[in-house]
Amino acid sequence: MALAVDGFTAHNPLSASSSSILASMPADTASISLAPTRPTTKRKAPFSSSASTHSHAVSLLQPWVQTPDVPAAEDANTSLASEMPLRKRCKSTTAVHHRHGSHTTSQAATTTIADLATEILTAIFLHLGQSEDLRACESACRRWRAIVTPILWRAPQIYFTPLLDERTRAGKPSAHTPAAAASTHYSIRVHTRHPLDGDAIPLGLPLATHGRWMRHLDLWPAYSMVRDATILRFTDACTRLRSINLHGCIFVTDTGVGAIAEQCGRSLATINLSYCVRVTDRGLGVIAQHASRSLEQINLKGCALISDYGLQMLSSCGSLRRARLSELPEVTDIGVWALASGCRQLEWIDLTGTCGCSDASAEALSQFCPKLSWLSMARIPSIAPAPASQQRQHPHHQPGTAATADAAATLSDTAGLTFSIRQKSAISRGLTDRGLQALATGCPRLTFLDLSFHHCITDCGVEHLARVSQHLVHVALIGCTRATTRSLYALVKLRHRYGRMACITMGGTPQFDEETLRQETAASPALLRDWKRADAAGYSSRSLPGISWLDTW
Amino acid sequence: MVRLHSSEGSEFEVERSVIEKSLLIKNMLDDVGENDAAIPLPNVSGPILAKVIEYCEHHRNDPDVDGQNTTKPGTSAGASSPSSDDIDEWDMEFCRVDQGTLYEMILAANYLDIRSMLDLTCKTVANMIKNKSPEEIRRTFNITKDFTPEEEELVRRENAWCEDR
Repeated sequence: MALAVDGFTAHNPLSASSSSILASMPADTASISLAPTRPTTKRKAPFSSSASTHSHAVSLLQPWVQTPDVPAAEDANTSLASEMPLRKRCKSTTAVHHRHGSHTTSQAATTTIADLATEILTAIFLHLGQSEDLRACESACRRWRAIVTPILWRAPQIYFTPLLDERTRAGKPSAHTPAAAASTHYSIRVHTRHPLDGDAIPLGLPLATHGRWMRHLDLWPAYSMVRDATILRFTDACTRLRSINLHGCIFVTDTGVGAIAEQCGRSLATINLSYCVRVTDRGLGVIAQHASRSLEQINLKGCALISDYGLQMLSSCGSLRRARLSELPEVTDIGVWALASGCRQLEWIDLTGTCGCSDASAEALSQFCPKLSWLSMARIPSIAPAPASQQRQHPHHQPGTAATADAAATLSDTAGLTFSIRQKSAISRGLTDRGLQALATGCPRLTFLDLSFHHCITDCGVEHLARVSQHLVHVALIGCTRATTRSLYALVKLRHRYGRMACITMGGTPQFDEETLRQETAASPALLRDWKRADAAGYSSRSLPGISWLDTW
Repeated sequence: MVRLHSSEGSEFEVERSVIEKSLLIKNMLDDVGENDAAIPLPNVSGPILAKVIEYCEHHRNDPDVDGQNTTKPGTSAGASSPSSDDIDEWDMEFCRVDQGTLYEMILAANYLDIRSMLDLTCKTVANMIKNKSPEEIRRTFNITKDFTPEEEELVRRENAWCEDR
């Protein structure tokens, strides 16, 4: 049958020309197309009464045979045909068209959707935007299935029975990793009522057949069930993962992380290990070793066992752009220095609550990472247990809003704000003006800077920052007791000059209650609005346009 | 002016600035330089070439899409937004042709490397797929169901895995 079809193609100028277009496509796309999409038998011709396909084909052929310029066209096409290695493509040429358009051209009779190359069909399917439509396409025919399945299974979200609530109720989850957000991204959601097998993988999940299509894997909805064995099962099947999210998988150890690194190391660009509390420097070392070329983003938030040694190994990942290293009590500026000196592409780094929030780190970052645009060096304050009489609502948790005279008084009492940077008291001074100046000078592209609870920063440093950093969008100076209205003015001036500054978050200090601010910013009501918005968002979730990455992790 | 020869040998004359929407021709002109020889386009038929030129004329003043050096349609679609609802009226009318012509236009846009036109035509096809059942899709595109019963069962079972809640 295929031969007959091919023979026919050769004599039909138009289809030959279209197949030569196909021939000009890259060879690999042709080789992907798997199955004959439209066998010429048993087809229903909507607008034709002819029973046999063959006679129908001939009837379509007739006009061509009779047109005067056929010989010339055929010449051209036979010469082309000789350079056509891809003639084996499965295509059917006897097209019958569903004409619904107004301007039909006379020549269109032979091109069907089956003539489109695989990559064009892929482009079409990527425009669909809804997984329902994609699934319908998957059930249409073999060839379409071969194209659609990889798209559908690129980023499955595995939902396990007892843990559905948050995300399923929120409707369609958005693309949840930056890497995924950047590309067209469908997520299928794996059905929930399947019982789990011993490794906590839903029974019957077609890992063996579809695992190789997976590019993004999100296991956090199942965090409490994921074991090393679960990960081993996944990594055996999915060897080309680009991103993996293990947020909160507290049972995962270095074994599981090592398996990911070994199996997917070459392609792995994003890994989220936040609150995988059992992961140690050893696991991080294996990742750094296997994914040193590809790794771009890493989230180690709350992996309390990670220390400077781990960061030192991580510094071999030269293409690392984003690192969230918050709440790592063992990390000091030595680790930050090592990381910065190795990863010079860093654009985004979160050091909140580490012991690396010091001048030394700031100098390292300013020296090695000129591309840095997002930096949080906020310290996590923990107030010394106050006497019973003073246990009131503390403005640290709601900066600004509740800074009434009362609260201000409370604060004045605790003027010496007892920061327990829980671990090493030696660096409790934190960042000073010197470090801030180095940062401002060395990292001119900074857009976000969080320096909260660094009580050594003074107006002088902030004014220098405002002079040098033209791209700032958000500065947070919560609890910086020595940054006064002079700092605020400097930043407001920056806003007026460049118009970029969207948010200045100050507060949690006696000198900045809402009333003072209202007076200070009478000239600039927009600032107060932003201030309020920052308040509403609260200190922990600073959601701002342009800094959406924060929300996604 | 640039002269183009379609597959049947009919000749079209267009301004260079118009046809430079096509990266293929632009690169060719850049390589060869301006001369009087007509450019043969054996893969594009006359009526389709006319449509292509109509498109380029209408969009001659559009700003270039970024990332001109990427030529694969797959990557171009990946970069642009996946939604296919934002087609303007002229484009919609332009794509109101029968399916065969539409596919020829896709093939021509791909061959001539006109990314915006490829995007537009692909979106049009995507819109034809949307909100249809597999059976309706097969009818619309005249596709024969070539699954064996076992395969069909397999697809059905796999789809049970991706049910949206």
